[in-house]
Amino acid sequence: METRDRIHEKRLLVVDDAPEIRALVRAVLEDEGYTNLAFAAGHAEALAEFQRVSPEFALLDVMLPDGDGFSLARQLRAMDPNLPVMFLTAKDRPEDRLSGLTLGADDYLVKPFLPQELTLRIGAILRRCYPQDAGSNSLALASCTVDLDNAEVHRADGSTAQLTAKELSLLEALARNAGRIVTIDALCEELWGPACFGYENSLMTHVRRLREKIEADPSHPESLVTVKGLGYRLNARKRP
Amino acid sequence: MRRSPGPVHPSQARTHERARRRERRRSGGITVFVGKYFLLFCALLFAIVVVDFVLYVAIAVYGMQGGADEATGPTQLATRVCSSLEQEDEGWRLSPDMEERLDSEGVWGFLMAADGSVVWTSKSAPQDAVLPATAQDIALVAHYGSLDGHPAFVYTPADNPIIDGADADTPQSDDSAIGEANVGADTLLVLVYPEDSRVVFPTSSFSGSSFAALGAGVAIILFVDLAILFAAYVISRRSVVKGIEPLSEGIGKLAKGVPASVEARGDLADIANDVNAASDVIRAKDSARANWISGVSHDVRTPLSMVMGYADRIAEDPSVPERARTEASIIRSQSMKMRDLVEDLNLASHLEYDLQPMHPEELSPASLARTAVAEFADSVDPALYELSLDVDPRAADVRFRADRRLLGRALRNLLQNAVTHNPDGCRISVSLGIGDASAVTFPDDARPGAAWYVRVADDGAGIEVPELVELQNGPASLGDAAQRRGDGIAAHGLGLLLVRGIARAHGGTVLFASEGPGAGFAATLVFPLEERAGD
Repeated sequence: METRDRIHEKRLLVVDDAPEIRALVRAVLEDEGYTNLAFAAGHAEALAEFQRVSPEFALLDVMLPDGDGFSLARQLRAMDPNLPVMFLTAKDRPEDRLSGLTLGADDYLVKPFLPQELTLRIGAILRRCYPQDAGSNSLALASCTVDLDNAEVHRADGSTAQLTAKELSLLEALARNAGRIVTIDALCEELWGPACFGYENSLMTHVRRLREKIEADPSHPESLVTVKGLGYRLNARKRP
Repeated sequence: MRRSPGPVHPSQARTHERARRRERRRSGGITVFVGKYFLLFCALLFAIVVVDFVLYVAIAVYGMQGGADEATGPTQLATRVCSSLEQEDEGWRLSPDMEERLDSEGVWGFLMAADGSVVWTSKSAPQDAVLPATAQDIALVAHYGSLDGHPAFVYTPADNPIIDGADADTPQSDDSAIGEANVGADTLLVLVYPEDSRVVFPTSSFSGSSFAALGAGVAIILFVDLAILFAAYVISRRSVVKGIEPLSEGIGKLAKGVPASVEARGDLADIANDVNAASDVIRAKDSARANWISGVSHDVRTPLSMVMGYADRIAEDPSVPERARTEASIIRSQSMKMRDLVEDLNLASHLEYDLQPMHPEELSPASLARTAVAEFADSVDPALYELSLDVDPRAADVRFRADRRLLGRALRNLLQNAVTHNPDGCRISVSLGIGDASAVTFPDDARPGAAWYVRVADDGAGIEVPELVELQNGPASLGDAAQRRGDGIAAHGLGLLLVRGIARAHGGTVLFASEGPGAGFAATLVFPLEERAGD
């Protein structure tokens, strides 16, 4: 995301009644490179800002002085059904989270949060909702570069390899969480959908085939490493 | 909380004593109830019998002595008369003071010689007195105790073998000896009392065998009466107990902090309403407290966002001097601890008052453990902490109904606990398995044959046995914790308190183990293994 792409030019609307939260979010998002930011302190102000800037993403506080974030989200969605919405909530109650997600919220973040949690999630939502603006989607690994758009692996020695659909989703899931452990269960769910029990062996097969394509030495993997008992971790190379 | 040794607190001992009493009461049951009340009942009867006997004797003695009347009893009076009678030439003469006494009491008498002739008549005798003339007359007077409608008593100072049998030798009193000397052994003295001054029972008779059976008959009647009384007593008592039972159950629930709803009719309805009102008050207070805690935790989140957010920005800003960045990262990690604490407090209070809506779903403990351990492994320094997860193949396919978020939280708190107490690093091994559950005490008296467990063990500092015991018997709720050692400690042990609360909410329990200082520490969450149809 260091490379300039049109994702960072998306119009974002941030609604929170606490001015200090708005200031923090503004600082964090501006540092991250977002340039079109609009802010609102309440329900009515948010609707006015929506008319003015017609945002392409909304970050909403759940508790607003003149109404709650859920009904605001419903109203915004009524005007723009495809608007990605993320909630920022100071409530830790599951019922709040649930009603947030049944509303079709794309994600939620519980206060207090770390700035990079916010930017990672917003970036992920924007890339998912506006893939055409996400720029070239390539992944740099220790011994190859993967063009995720075309499912192609470009090895250091100049040879290329094609990824299967399953291998691509596997790699994408790992890339989204690069540097972190992704559990066997999460990967199975990614590949075969929820409630997939007993696919561990198939997963291992896919991982082995993927390694043959992306690793210099598949039996001593550098990029796609096994975390025993837990899952796998993808070590992405820092881009120059 | 693992580092705070201390003696068992008195209130803890009280709690144990209460539990023991409850246990005893339950095991004693109906035998103790009947035994205890039967003994009480018997003691009561015995007391009644003793009191009756004493009263009877007192009344009888009083009555024999003439009761409230001035009149002297016939035997006593007859003895005196005999001893005051003297034979003179012209016949018998009673001393004037005795004559006066008879007169004052309205009693008159006469002495009958062995041949049936009346040899002396008192001066107080009425003019128209009818005197018995034949042996039949005197026998009837003696039998019915009545002469011309007046109570009459026949007396002889001497023992007569015709009544008492051959071997009669009752010792004589001095008065009757003098009387016998005066009037001779063969005379009869008859005293006639004023009408209605004495009640006389004419003698009647029973057949010998039925009289002997009378004792047994009385005993049987008495026994049946007692049995009826006891049955009535037990029935009335049981109906009272039955009426009180729902009330006592309700009050017991209140004592445990559980809301109670009692229904009772009749006399106890008022008490039932009071119990329900008390329950409502407790519930309202509980929910007010939980709402207050959740309000505070809500309000703390915005300022905490500022602290965490800006500390993070300073810590990650390459243009800031190294030292400031290090310090900012300390602020960041401490504020994250604060966030955990606030979340724990909120969750614990909601769990405690059953306000936390559980969202149970069928989940795979193995998958849950992998997620929890993976997330945790990402958040700690891999150079200090080596995390491993070992899933027993038999436990890999276990399914359990649980709230994913809560159970994950419990695991995370156990992992965090290991890290907190081993700041210099340690190896943390998490294992998931199936075991025999017979030695484990589950809440709700569940007795599953097998259980699944997840154990978080470290090879770090470990704890002493007393601390381990204290930890195992640790508070199970916020209220309990606050009662024991003041509010500060409750917050201190919040992480494990919540683990315990979550385990209990899922019908499981948590066990702690340590081989001693330096030998590591292990916490095991144990849950009953659900029987699955078709397996």
